[in-house]
Amino acid sequence: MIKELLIYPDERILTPCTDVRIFDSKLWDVIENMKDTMEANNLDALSAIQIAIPYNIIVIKHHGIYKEYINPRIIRVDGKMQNIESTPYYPNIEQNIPRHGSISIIYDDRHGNTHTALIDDPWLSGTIQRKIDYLFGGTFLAKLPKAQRDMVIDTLAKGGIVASEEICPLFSPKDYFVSFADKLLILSALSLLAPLTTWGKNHIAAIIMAKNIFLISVVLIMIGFFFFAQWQAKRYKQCTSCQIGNNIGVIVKRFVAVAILGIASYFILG
Amino acid sequence: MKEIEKRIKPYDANFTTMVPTAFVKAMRTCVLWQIIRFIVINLKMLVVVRKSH
Amino acid sequence: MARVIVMGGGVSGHTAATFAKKWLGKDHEVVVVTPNARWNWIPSNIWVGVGEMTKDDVTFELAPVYHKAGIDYRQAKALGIHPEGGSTHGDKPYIVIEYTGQGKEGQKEELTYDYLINATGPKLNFAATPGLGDANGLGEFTVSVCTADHAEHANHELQKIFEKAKHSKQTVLIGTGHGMCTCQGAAFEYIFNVEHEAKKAGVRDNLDIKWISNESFLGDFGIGGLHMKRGGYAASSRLFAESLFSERGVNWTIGAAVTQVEKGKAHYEQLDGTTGVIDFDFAMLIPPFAGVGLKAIAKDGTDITDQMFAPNGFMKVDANYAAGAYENWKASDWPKTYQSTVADNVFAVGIAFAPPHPISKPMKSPSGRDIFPTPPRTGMPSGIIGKTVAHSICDKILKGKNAHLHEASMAHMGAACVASAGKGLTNGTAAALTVYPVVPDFETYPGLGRDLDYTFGEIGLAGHWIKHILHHMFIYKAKLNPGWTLIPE
Repeated sequence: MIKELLIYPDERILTPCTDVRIFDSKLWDVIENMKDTMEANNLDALSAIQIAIPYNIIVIKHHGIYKEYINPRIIRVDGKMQNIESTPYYPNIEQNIPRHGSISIIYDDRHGNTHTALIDDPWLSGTIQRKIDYLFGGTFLAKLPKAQRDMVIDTLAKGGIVASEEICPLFSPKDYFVSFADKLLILSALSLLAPLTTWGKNHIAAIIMAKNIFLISVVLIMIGFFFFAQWQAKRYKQCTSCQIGNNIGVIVKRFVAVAILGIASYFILG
Repeated sequence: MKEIEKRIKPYDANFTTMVPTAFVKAMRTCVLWQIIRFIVINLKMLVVVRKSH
Repeated sequence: MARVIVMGGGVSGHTAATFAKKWLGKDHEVVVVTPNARWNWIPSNIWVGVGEMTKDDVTFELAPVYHKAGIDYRQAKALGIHPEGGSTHGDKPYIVIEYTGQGKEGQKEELTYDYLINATGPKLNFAATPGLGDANGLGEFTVSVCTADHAEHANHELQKIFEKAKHSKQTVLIGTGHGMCTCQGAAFEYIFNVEHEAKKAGVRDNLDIKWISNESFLGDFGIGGLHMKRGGYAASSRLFAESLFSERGVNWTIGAAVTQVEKGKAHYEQLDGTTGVIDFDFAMLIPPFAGVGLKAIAKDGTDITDQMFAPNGFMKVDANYAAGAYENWKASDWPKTYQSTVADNVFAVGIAFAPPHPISKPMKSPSGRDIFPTPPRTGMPSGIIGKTVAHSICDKILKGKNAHLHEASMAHMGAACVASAGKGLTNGTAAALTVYPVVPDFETYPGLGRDLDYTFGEIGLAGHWIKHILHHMFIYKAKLNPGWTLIPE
């Protein structure tokens, strides 16, 4: 059966896979589905997680023959090469990835018998390494320096796969505002524990001072957040999570927290 | 990154792995950030300890 | 008046003995039989091994603590168990001990018991790999950090290497010394502490640090690896470990069984059948563990050791030892009450109980050599198991023989683990990890067998602080200082 391939930005690709323990017809069905999917998409290699099945299974078509590697582990590596790689997960992206020229692997076949193999064919070696990366919950982008990784993500976004003008981003810098404000709130809350300590007056006074600065900062950060969010909402018109109601909710919650902490500290710390 | 490059020689087992960025490494020993992590990790561990008894 | 004997005073034995005494009070007797005069907080031995702590920092005299608690302390090693009684004791079961201290060295004594807890821990089976050491402990070619004394010796040798490294290149090899070792965690901590100390001593550039282990992938740790949540998805400990090894410039050889050690050379065989030799100037290789070699004898004098103990010397308890192949393993195979299969008043806790099967995937090299980690039973789980068994025994004594046994299966138990990667108040780091449950439960959590909500890991300074606090907290607890019962296992 032909299965749907996971394509960026589907994060299920990051799911780590587990070893196959039972070698029965269910496993063989999965392998057949992988082969059908490879045929339909004209692919040479596939990890089970690429069709959303989180098991350590790799199928590779080498010189027209299908090879199955179950629970593969790389035991030894030798040599290095730059391998030009592409993967259906990131359509139309080609990257130069550092790989080992030859690897020694141990794996099970579809009946659960263990085999070892020395793979010195550069193409096969590189492909197996890329597929094993998927099994452990990573993609080849993890192997690239951060700047290059960001560039690829950016290219993907501009390539029409994610139309950034239409769809709101999964992560926006405004989340930094919220997260920072929350951390300050936690620290402020901790200052309420000061009377439990045996610290001197000067120390406690310093803590109260810091807490006051934190609370005021939270208010200022939330004001900054409001303007930033407004600006962003204009940019991404269809973005539900950017809508004013939502943002105001976020702000009101923090204001309430600041008020409660302020009142509590007035009574506790005096 | 230089420090890392110095250690990674050809034919090493480890030259194809991902390495943390300077920022990630700096955060690991940033006292202020680690105080926050200290609280968070302690809470997480307490949950696991409670669940195990 | 009932007598409870605890053989062994490690993490689980000490926990069991102290709780048993607390719950039983003065009306009953608790006896601890342990060959050591000092209690050792084993996780901190790593720091002794790099000279950041001394033996006195990680150990303390047991006698005053047991005296204060009202526990009868015998510095002796247990030789045999007579679960059906015999000799002059009639039907009363007893154990034979041989003193190693208290001025009675070499004397043998028979001690009867109502309940027996076997917490004898591991025998460090150096003899399993030729050259790794002899049956008495250390060999001449490698060091170990398994006991405080070994760790002191390791530090002594390490400092010599640091001194030499000021002038010439030195190779340090750290890892496991056999195909079926457990405790990769200790070697993992040691390698990064050595790396950290080398940097501090300014000799890092002249030190080639290498890792060798029996794991089939880096980050297996004997529990089949673990997963850490990152942005809603889990990353494998393999990525985490490989990244750390690369960052610290440590080479690795995995899926390897050290088959023989000579002066400056470690021979190994890997899972793919290749063999090789690593040259070293300093090697810390963890030995495999075996049972301490207790004998079990029936009333008529016949040897029933093979009924009471598994072939590796660990005690058989209420586990399913007949699970067979990997695909049949179930979380329910793991023991719950730790009651012996032979006698219902004998229990085994900590490393002393025989696990039903490994946790990591078993693997063999083409020559048939087993190369995979055996399951860890240390730290937090062993403390919890010790306390649970003490609870069961106290209930049996106080509420009657039919009292319900308490359960603590490693398949329903998490572990919080902090692995040091360098000591220092502002520049130390440690990996803080939790995993739940320790033994993957594929029925409850299909797929990975673990609950990802309670499995996480992170490296940083905060982890180091936690490790340091734990050191003081657990020694405080073990010394039975005020409030010790409030500190969790």
